[in-house]
Amino acid sequence: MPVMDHPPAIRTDQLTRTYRLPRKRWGKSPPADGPAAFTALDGVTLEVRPGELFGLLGPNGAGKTTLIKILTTLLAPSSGTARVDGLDVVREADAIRPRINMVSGGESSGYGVLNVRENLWLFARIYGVSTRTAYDRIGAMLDVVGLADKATARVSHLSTGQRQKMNFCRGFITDPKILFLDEPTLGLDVTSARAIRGFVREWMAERPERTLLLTTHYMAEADELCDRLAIIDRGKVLACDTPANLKKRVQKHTIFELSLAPGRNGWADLGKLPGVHQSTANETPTTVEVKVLLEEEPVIGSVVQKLVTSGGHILSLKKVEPTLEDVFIELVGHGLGGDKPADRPSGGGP
Amino acid sequence: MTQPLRTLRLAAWLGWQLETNWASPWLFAIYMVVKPVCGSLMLVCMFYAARAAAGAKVPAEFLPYLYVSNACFGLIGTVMFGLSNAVVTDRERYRMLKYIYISPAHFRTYFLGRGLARALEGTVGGALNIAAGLLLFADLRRAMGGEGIDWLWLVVFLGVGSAMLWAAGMILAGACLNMSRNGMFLSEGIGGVVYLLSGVVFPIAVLPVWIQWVSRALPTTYWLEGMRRALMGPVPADTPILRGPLADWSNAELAGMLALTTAGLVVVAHYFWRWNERRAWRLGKLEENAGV
Amino acid sequence: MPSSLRLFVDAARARTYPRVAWLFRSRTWIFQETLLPVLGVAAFAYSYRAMQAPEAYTGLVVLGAAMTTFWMNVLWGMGAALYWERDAGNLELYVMSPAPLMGILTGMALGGMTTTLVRAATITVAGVLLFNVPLQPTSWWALAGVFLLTLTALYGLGMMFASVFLRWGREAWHLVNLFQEPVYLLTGTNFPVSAIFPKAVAVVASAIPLTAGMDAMRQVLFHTPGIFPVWQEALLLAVLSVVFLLLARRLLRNLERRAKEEGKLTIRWQ
Ligand SMILES: Nc1ncnc2c1ncn2[C@@H]1O[C@H](COP(=O)(O)OP(=O)(O)O)[C@@H](O)[C@H]1O
Ligand SMILES: [Mg+2]
Repeated sequence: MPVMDHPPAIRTDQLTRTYRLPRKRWGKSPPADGPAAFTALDGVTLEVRPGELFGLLGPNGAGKTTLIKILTTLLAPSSGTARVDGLDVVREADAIRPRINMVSGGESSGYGVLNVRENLWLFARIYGVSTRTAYDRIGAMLDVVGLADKATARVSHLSTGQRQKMNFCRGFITDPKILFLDEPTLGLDVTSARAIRGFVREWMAERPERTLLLTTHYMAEADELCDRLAIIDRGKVLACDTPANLKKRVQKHTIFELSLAPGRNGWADLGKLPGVHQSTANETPTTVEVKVLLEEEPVIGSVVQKLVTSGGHILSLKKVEPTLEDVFIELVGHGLGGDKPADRPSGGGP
Repeated sequence: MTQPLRTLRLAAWLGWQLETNWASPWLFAIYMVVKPVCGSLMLVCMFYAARAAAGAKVPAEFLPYLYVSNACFGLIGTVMFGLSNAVVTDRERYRMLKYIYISPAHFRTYFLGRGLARALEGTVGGALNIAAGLLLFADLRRAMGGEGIDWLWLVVFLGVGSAMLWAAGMILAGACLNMSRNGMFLSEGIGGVVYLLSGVVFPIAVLPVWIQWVSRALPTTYWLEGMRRALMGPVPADTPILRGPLADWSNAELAGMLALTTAGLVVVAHYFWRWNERRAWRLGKLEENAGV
Repeated sequence: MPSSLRLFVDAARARTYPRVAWLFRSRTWIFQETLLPVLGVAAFAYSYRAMQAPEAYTGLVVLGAAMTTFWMNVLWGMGAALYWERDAGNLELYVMSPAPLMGILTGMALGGMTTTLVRAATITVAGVLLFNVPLQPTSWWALAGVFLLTLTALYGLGMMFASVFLRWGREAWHLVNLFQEPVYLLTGTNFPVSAIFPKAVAVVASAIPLTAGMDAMRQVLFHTPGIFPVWQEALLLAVLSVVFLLLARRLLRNLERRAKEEGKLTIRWQ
């Protein structure tokens, strides 16, 4: 439940980040006359309200991690501004740091010689969390991710997924006001991923002032968790809205699917009804599958009435919801499959 | 037959790429010269310090002895340290060791290739080191100018020596398979022990007798003696201080003993590596990433 | 305690922990960290014997070996530290945290000092016993004082290196390596500097804290000729310590800013 009368938790304005492409090594062919820089973020303007669970959805190489790095004071913007909790990421980084934390999935940090609890303790201490509080929180968090039995195992003996879970805990034990999760469920098993999503929701509900920015390339995860979403590709924000509104945007017509008992009763001229945009039918030996595109949802009433009055027998009726995938394809022009777009350098040089 | 050759070529290429991954070729050139030369100069300083303190009791021939053996030892150090370093960095840093292991490439051939790259570096470094010494010290010019370089024996000792270097490198690399990053410190330490036992900076006659026998079991002792002789001729008879137990051996005897001990080392390396590889595989060390 | 200072202390203590933990948990530690270096020391000791140098010269070698362990720790443990941390993925976590990076570096220094102290002590004891090194210092107090000052200056330098090395990325590794031998040479690891080098070189070399520190300790322990009188060398070390620590802080700030601009805080394998 977003709290309205506060400065935005996160605000970026025309945020752009370019990476200089690496120089060619000596003794090798001179650099081809390609671009000298790569634009990873291109004029990103976003606002995340306090209390929001905000999602960044985009394919690999879209610039999600780059944006998170800038917001967590790890990377300087090339141009534009970014503010976290009302503070500028460049000039007021020191003031931002106590209020944030970040977890990036698929990354394994920590010290191999220390065990899980000691590692988490270390990273809590550098935030000034007292040892006792740290231990309490560590215990609770390890339970959440199901790593309690590994609390005293050396990190070098953990599996990749277990390391990632430890890393996930690390983000929460400092009780940040604004938390950044960069693909937190990347590579985790279904159960663990579900547990983590559940915990994220709980954690957000616990205190309304907490804000969470989550990046993911899993459509379902974004749909399930986020209050609002920005769809990002090749460094540009293509759309930003609630999942429901985004889906509405691609769907100009309400779609219903009806299953009828075999027969020729009434469905043939459904398309002629007022408010019905289109009607298609597919006869199988056991049923007739009818799909109607309506200009407005209530029109389904007259469709049903027409079928019933003309003696049709409705077996089932189902409203077809669009998915974020549809939104994505509409916006980007391709599915969320590979990382093809990432290879194409954009902007920068001539 | 082509598969191992390809592996070898690829590994040598990779090793060279990693070694020479410098932004500036100049820095790399400096690196190749400065490191070995400074190491040798340190010994030269010790020589002059001892001379200044103890009067003229140290013969002038001690300086070329120190300089040349140290330059040659550089090759041993580079290859031994290089191979264990290859294991550690491939595993911990590039995280590629496991992929090489499961690839059809022959694991040991791969490391032979990596060793080749290091050997090239070591040889160039050693040559430059001696060149710098010739430039700086008249004593060294005199010692190496006297008989001239005996190219035939040099080739013989270098040839047998390369088998010795590889075997020694594989023993350390094998040990590193079962250790984490600090395996590199181990190889440095072992390097120090070999440095001590093979009489790099003193004739082994000054060692306690029982240690001398250990020295005589090491191929490196014979190799260094052989290299010194190939480069500077036999030890002069009028400097008893420099005449170790090997001084009276002929070059052929030395080469024979070197070949024999090297063969022993190769056998040890073979089994030790195999044992370590299995053990690492069993304990899951091929991909363990300890961090610090 | 003001909260920023407390955070500094907390961070330093937390970062000391892994290093000390490693000391107790690494099983091969004693073997590789002490026994092997002692054997390496023996080579130079025997070399001096072969050259019939006075007994005290063996002491120079032992002292050199013990002090060199600190130098190695400063290079590998401190200089390359941030670099390793970045590789391990920890650096970004430290930068992102409210703790000052100086606190983290101080922790590394304290941890490194502790472990290295054990190592150096072992080498010294073993060396002294094995080679009958004559020990008649002019004053144990002077020795201890000079030693502590040397450590402070050395680790100050190490903290400075840490940012320089991180900035230079992969080159840092080579630089650590490159500096090793020249420094052994310039600091006179195994011989009295002033007996060999012209005065001008010796004076310049004293800018490396190891040179001044070892020179002073050699004077106190073995009565060898020194570059400067002991008290002057101690003063120099004190000044160097302050300068290095201040510089380290500045460099670290600069580094963080530039690394952020270039996006180098988090990339690996380069
Ligand atoms: N340090 C860097 N140097 C050059 N290019 C980079 C660097 N970091 C990221 N990029 C490029 O920027 C783009 C965005 O990367 P990133 O933000 O990591 O994407 P993602 O959305 O997958 O997290 C990618 O194409 C990537 O190749
Ligand atoms: Mg990413």
